Amino acid sequence: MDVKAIIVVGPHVDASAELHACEQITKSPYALADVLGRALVFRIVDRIKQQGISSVAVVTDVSTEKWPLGTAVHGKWIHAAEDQLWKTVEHFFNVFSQEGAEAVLLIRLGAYVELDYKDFLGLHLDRQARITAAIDGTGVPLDIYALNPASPADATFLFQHQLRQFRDGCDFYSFTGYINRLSSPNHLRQLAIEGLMRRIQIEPEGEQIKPGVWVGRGAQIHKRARILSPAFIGAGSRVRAAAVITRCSALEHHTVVDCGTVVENVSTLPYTYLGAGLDVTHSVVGHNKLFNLKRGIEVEFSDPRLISEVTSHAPLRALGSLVSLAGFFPAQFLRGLFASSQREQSTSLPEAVAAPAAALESPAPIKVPAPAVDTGEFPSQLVIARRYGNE
Amino acid sequence: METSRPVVVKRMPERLNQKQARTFLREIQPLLNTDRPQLVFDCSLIRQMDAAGVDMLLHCMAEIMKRDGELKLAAVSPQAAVVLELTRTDRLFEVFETSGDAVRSFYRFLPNAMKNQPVLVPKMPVTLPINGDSASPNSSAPVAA
Repeated sequence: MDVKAIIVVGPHVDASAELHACEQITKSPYALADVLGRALVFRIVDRIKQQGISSVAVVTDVSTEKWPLGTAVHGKWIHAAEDQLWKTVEHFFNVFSQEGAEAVLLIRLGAYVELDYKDFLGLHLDRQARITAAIDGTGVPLDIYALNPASPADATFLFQHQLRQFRDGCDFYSFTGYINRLSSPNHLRQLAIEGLMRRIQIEPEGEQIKPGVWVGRGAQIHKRARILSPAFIGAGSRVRAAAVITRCSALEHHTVVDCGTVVENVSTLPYTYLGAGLDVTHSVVGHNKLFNLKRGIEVEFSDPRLISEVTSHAPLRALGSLVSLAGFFPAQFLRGLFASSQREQSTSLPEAVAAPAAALESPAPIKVPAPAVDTGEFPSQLVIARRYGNE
Repeated sequence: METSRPVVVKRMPERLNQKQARTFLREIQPLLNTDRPQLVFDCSLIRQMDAAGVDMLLHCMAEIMKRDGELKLAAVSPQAAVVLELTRTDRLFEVFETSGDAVRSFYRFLPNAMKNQPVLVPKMPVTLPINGDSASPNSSAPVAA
């Protein structure tokens, strides 16, 4: 079967500002966020390609600067203005129809759904339906549709109404597998946890250096840092001395965890810097913001000593490292020259050393208990210790 | 024998960055220099706090401890609570839900001898201007004792 796909990474179909905002983290859709080393949209593109779909177009209103790295090898990416988004989708539907596709799969990301696309499309083709919509167990649409190129009017009507109205009804495909709505930082965190626990099809991108600990390419972990499984350290990340990474924490690529910081139940976005000596817990952190999952609030940081962003330009990062290295030795030298010693010496130390210890002069008398009268019973002071095995 | 010392409730500003922290510290410096100061910082307004704000709190704590006083935090906003947790300083302070609770806590553990002197220590603080609208955001309110 020749099936082509259009993936829409765009505004929520209900178009209210509130719903639109809830599908975004730091003003970028969750679909473009990295989860365990790879952007979600790339994972979806790879999965549908594995299931026999020949061509994929990704249409988005998100500016190109926010696109994840690697769009060149994950389908054809098209940027469209927000008011032209569905027109662009319609254009690609027409192009795919003219190329002779038997069906066009339309996915709006949205929710993360582990749908069996082969089964879904097979059902659609068997029924020769005009439109088949995937819904969850409660009947809520998952924004996944199989469209019939032979009835373009139905598809056009659907696009014009931003996937919320059908011209002449449609068939439904009920899905009861894994669905993550991805409408809050908690959902993103949950997705990373499920992936690390290997409950879903999302696999960490990296080498498993010990059971449950995946490390991406080029990540540096100090020998005095502790990584407790399951955990994910993304490519190019740095975990410095005495840092602790625990409870399913996932550090996306180029995250820096400074000395002594404890990272517990945390997901970081790429290029996040966590300052030294912090306790980062139950949060999603990135782009100078911290989303506390327990309190349900977002806190913005302007102090680079706490949470900040690492530059995404590699030469600038290298330059920064060089500058800090170059500044380290002179700073140590000056500190050695001018810093006052913290050590305090007692003024009477020589006298104290010269004088004999009081204990030596008059040793405390050791009281030897009088021998117990042999009554045939154990004396009350007697303690018996017995070793068992390797104790 | 000491019987009563005022408890001062001080409302903290909305932003606690380097500049604001310095200003705030300058404001409360006379309070820190008193003998055995009893202070409550009302943190309900704090929306943004950085390392300088945390440093300032620790400095106040150190100064007050030197003078055998007590510093308590009250009505800590979620944003401030997150920063305090993040910097591991939340465990250094006694934190109360309201300023009233914090003030009352100063009178909670009195020696038995002092419990027989009802005139000197009221059971409830008389007024707490920080809860009223008339108080300015940075006003300090000594509570009678």
